[in-house]
Amino acid sequence: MVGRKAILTTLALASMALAACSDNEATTSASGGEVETTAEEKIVIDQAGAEVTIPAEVNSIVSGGILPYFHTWYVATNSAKEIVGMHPNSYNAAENSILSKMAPEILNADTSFVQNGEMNVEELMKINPDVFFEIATDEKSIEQARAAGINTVAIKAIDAAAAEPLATFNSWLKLTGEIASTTERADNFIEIGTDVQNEIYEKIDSLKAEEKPNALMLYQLSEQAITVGGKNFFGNQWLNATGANDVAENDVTGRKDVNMEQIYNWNPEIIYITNFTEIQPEDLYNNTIPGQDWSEVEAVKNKQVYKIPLGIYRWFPPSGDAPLMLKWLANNNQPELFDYDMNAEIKSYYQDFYGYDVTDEEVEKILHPSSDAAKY
Amino acid sequence: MKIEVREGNFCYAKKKEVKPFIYESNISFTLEPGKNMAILGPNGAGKTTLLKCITGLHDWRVGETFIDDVPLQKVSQKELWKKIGYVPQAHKMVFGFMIEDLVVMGRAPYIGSLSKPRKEDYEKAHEALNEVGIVHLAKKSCNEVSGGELQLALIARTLVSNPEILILDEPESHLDVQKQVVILETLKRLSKEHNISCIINTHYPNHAFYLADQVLMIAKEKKAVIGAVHEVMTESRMKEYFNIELRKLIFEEADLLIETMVPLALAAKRNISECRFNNFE
Amino acid sequence: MKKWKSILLWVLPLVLAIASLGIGRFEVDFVTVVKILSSHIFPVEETWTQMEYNVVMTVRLPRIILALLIGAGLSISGAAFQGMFANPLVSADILGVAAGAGFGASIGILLFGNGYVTQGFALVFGLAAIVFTYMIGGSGRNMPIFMLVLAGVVTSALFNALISLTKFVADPEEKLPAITYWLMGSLGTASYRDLWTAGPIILVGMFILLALRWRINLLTLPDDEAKSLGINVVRMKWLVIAGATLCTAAAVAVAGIVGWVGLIIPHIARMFVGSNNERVLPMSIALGGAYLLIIDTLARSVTAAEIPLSILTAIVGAPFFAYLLRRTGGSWS
Repeated sequence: MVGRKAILTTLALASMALAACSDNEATTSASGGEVETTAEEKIVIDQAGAEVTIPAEVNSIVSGGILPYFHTWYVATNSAKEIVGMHPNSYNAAENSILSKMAPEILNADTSFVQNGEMNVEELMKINPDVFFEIATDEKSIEQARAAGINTVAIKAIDAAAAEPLATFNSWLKLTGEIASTTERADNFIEIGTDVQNEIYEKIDSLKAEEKPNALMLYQLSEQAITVGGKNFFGNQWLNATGANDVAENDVTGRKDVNMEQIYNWNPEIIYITNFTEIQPEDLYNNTIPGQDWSEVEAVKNKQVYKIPLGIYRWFPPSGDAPLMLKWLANNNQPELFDYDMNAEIKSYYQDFYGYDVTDEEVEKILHPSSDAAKY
Repeated sequence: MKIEVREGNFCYAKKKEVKPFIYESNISFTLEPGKNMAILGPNGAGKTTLLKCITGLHDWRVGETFIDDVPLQKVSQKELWKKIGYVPQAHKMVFGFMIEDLVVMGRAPYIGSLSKPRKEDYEKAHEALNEVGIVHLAKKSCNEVSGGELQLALIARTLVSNPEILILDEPESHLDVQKQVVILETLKRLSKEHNISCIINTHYPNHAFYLADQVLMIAKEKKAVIGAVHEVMTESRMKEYFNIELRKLIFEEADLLIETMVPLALAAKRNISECRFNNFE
Repeated sequence: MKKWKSILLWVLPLVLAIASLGIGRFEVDFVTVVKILSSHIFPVEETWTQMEYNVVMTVRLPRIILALLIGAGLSISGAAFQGMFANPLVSADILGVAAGAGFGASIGILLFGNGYVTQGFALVFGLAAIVFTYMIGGSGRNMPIFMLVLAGVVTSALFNALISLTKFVADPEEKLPAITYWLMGSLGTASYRDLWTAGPIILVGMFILLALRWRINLLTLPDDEAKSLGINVVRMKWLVIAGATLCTAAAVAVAGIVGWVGLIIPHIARMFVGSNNERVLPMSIALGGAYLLIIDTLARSVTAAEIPLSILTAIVGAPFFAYLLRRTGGSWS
């Protein structure tokens, strides 16, 4: 008895020592010099083209300024326990999403390494994840993290060149699959997504511009500013993929502030409101914002203002619910051609893909998210 | 207007630190209406400060100024400056006001706080400009006229408020001899015809002889002396205050008399035997 | 300057205002604009859509009036300060009002995101900045100008640092862009409410400065000279500061920080009417209002996205100022 215990303890200690050693090696090689990997490690190429050495088995990850990424991990691996840290804004989304019910351990993630929107590298080192995912445009944080010995993978926020909205998310899934050494779920998702996309394309491909409604992506709305999304932004990709015209496409790139007159000029028939603002469709129907009269806009007259749903994550940026977003949008944009029963679709998708039973109440919450999700 | 100073003295007190008075003895004088006083003294004696103390622009540390036997502190600023005209040295102005706009500023004590000058005010300005002989420059920018013309304009500025006394701080500096004459003649005429006194800081002894009825002389570490021109401006006094040998010159021609003082140091040496002007025989 | 030229310059803002009512991203032909406007005075057959009506009456009209008021207010304040400081290179920002008001608005957006509060804070902190400047540099006997200027530099620096702190604390998704965008100056969401809150304050400030416009000539003289003309120099300076502060703080509260207007317009006014502030101040009102109106009309019509005002005023103002410098060789008369 005693002997076996001793052997087990020694083995445990030895393997821990080995793990520590290999971690050190991985650390030193990740920060420069000849890349030598042991059997415990592998090399992946991140979305900024850098070679990153990571442990072969990843047990802890942190996601930073690339806000949707944390749930990408879950989608790819069906596991949230590795997510030990995430950006406070991601946490907010997570709290208000159904993910918090499906995988409550997600709420244990540590958000302290981001203070006032800035990454504190020392706090990150305390968490010491196996891999840290950061948005590719934040080169400073990426360099800082790598210099501190943390394996950092850069993730691009949007594949602007691609026409389809799912392209970005698919790329994330593929990379995650590589890192987590599990590609089955990623491939599955990509397949589902592609199927749905093709299903929709079949019907809308032949449509002419006049047969598509003019739609506007309202990114943020407040008394101080009206911010809309245009070209090279998610909204544009979503609208084009689901049979609508993006009114802002030719005038606006990215997201910009416009005035009320410009809204009148575009006069969209449909308005989609993102989860980055607390505004709800009722605010436009009831003209609750002083100084702005939305009542004359076509979309408000026809009561076609929609708040974008929030399921496993906000549906506006790339998310694991992307196939559902496609269907939901298609319903709104081309009601003559599409009539998905969203309640049933959500339930079956979540059952098939996540293995989770969604109640009717939860479906309502997904389709009509509260304003809290926009809070910081 | 009678202006009187009794036992006045001044120092630049910096809060806690009290510096010694800048005048060796307290200053006292009386200037009757229509009389002129010249203030003489070397540079740094405190002449400009003295002018400011007399008029209340600085506060005396001891002593007081009296206007017609009323303490200056008791006279309202508006009333005071209607009667006193302060003429600073001509200087370049930041904004190029027209001469007439510059002169009409002198009407400020008569113009309500929220009003602007009326036609009568501009008429008075033109009258004043005429008095000093430069009414033809009324529409010119004050940065386009010469220093002397600007100085005359500044004098005109004080005239528009019907002053009883003018205070001038070295007005003849930077001016050519012709402009100097114009100014002095104007001042003399004002005192004769309009009974306007003036107190004038000057470096020119002959100007004092020409214009002043009394002279106040000050110097560092010398007691202030005041009295009639001929009493104060003696060769020994000038030596004592200016630390330089001066000789009084008198020039006579027909019914004209000019008195002045010139420094001995500027004399040229000559050979007495070759002198043409001395007649010993 | 000829009478008719003077009248022309006064009519200019009015003409521009009516013209701008017809310009914008949303097409409304001019006849319709005139019809909509006149319908308030006499009965006109309603041939326009509700949207056209909205665009003219609720989107453009309050904004145009505000642009006129703010341009006028900033310009007359700049002219008054240039007189008071006897320095043609200053504008009303020099004592820290703009920085203070900017900070007030930033805090308002950060904590409340609400219009009334933001504007109120801007006003309060604009005034606080002046008090601060006075406490540092204004307590001398004559309130000497150079002390005020230095104190103003300190105050501006302090409040600008506080603005940076506010931006640092703000969340980068919604609040930070809102603050940054606001600080660059915009009338994008101008409404009648803004007009009723800021308008009266700007008018009061303008009125004070107009009443004092001749006396400001006296302030351009050295302190002792000014005193010798019988004016209470300290009280005058305070009144001018009060008037200019009201105009500037109210302008910043509603439109953010718009630079270069208060600096340049008085110079152009002087080119037309000479240096006498009695004429420069009113002319600044007319020219300033017209100028900012043109700038704002460009800001809201050239592209779909709103161009911040201070970007346009700087792009137009800085080269023009350089041209002025070269042409006058630095002398301002």
